[in-house]
Amino acid sequence: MARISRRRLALGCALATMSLGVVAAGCGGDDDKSSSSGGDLKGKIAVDGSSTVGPLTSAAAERFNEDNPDVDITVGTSGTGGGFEVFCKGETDISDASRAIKDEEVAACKKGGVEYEELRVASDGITIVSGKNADLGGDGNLTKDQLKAVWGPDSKIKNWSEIPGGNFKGVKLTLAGPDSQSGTYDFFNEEVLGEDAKGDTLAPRQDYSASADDNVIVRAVEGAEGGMGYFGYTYYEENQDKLMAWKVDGVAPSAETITSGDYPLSRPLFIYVSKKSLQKPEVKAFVKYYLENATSLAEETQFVPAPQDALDKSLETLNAG
Amino acid sequence: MATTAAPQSSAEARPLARKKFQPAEVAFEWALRLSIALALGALVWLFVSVLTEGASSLSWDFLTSKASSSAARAGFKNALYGSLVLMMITVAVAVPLGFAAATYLEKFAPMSKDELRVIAMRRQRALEHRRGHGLSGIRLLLARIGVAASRVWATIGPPINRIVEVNISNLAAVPSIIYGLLGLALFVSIMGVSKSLLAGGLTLAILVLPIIIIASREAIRAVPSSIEQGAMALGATKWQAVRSQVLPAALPGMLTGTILATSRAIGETAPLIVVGGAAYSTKVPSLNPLQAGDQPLLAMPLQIFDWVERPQETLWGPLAAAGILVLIGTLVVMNLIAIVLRNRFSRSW
Repeated sequence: MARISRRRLALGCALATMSLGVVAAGCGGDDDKSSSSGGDLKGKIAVDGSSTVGPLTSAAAERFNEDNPDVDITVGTSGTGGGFEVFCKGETDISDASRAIKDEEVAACKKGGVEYEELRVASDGITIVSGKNADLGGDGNLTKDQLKAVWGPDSKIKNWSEIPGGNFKGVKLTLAGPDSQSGTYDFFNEEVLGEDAKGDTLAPRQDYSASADDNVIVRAVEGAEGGMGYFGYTYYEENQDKLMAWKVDGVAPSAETITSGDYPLSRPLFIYVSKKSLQKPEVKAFVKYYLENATSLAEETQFVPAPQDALDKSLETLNAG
Repeated sequence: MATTAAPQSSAEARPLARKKFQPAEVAFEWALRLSIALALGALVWLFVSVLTEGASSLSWDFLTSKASSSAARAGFKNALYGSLVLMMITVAVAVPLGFAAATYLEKFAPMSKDELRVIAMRRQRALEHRRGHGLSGIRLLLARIGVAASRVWATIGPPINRIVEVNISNLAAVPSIIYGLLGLALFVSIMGVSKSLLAGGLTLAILVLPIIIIASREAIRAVPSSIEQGAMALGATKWQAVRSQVLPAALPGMLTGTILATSRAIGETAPLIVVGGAAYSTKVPSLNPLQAGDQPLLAMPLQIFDWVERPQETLWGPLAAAGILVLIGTLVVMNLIAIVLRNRFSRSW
């Protein structure tokens, strides 16, 4: 082939760098400089935290943005713990949380000079599930003590028949649950396993299959003959054709029992808002919108709503602050 | 290419009929076929399963709609734009650095202490010559600094180059999440870049830098040394020979390596999550890479991950599959560009 001229060389380099840009520019054009109708609020709101709460906050952000196109809201889902880590450094305005803030996180926020409001936006219930067609015996009920015996750090239970105080059949027990990054994991350990002598929350046994993706847990439980797993109520609701939910201490999980708190493993879902950020009008307007519409947003995105009095209380806190 | 007319060895001269049947040879051949079938089969199975699930959701609307919390309205635009900007930044940063580093490591670093000393001496002589012709003041000072630096480098250069050499190969094997942590520490914490597309693009750039360097070095090495020597024999300096003879000839290979490296970068999720990747943003990132420091860090793999995680698998699963198809499509386009460029610039010796 002929000698390559300098020009063609330059062209080649340019082509390599620009090809992406050209592709990009090609489908650009319709950049959305939405006409600034509606609200005249401007600014950016950074949210991070629980991947359970994330979709609800995203829905709120999307609807708020329709009326306030100049407010950009970004929602990350690095987990409740990961969210608090950046929140307490003052890097985010709002932190999604699937459990209440922990003592060490309170300390971190204090150190970072971040004051906050805790606002409840929805509910969830940790649901204990097995495969729909699993023949395990028992009466469809597990007590918290039984759960502790199964999941506890020293548990050697390998078969359903070994679960104390139940008349389960002799089926091999296969456990699946969230990994330690998850707020669900923290909540389950606190509620079911309790604390050791020093006051630290116990960790569960290590020989269960842990996953960050609840859909993986759904599949693990559904596929095993004697499977048991736990995750947020929505994942059970979506997979009712494949899974059965255990009653806990005699109460079956449902939207009603979870909202009212009768279900023993029900938990509130929160957003934590930095007080400093609340002084920005766009943040305050967004949080207000979020709380006022929390129930309809929850229904739309298949969350269990928070009780109305909790939402009213959150709004009161917001307006007072 | 030299046509190989191999000399007839005694084994080949033997009549075919008397060649022994070798079971091990046949078994080995089939083992090789099987391993190819397994590798390709897995890929085909993956592709078909994604295609059957995602094809129905794939449409122009899907590409041009904003992200949404309603599966019926949700589109891929935010993530697609984010990934395009990420790739622009990655290429713009990693390619010049990678090509320069590869050229240095392949053509300049291997010089020995003696060679470097000769260069330093030659520069000293040139300096004196120019001083005789009235070089003075600040320019003389600069020239003196240059000569002194050459002398120092003749001593410390070779060992430093060896250390760099060993470490570049090691860097290519470092897990990508480590680069995420590095990016978070270096760009976000130390340099104060916000958790944006810029931080993500820079992180991906250092992630693929070793890959680009290694591929480019291979390409430069493949250029026959006679080309460079010929140029130098005609009076070109080392830099002139490398710039106008070696690099143009190595360019196709270097470009191929680059595009393969960016193909890896576009699928990376873990480092972006560490640097602060978001699952959702109301804002579609601007395609202008100069504004990237201000844009939410969104990318195709992040969006796919978010969709796969959601409880309503029947709603979001097809969207995730369609997203994977777009990602694969982008990859194929990038590889096609690599092939076109390679064919355009390649020459044979």
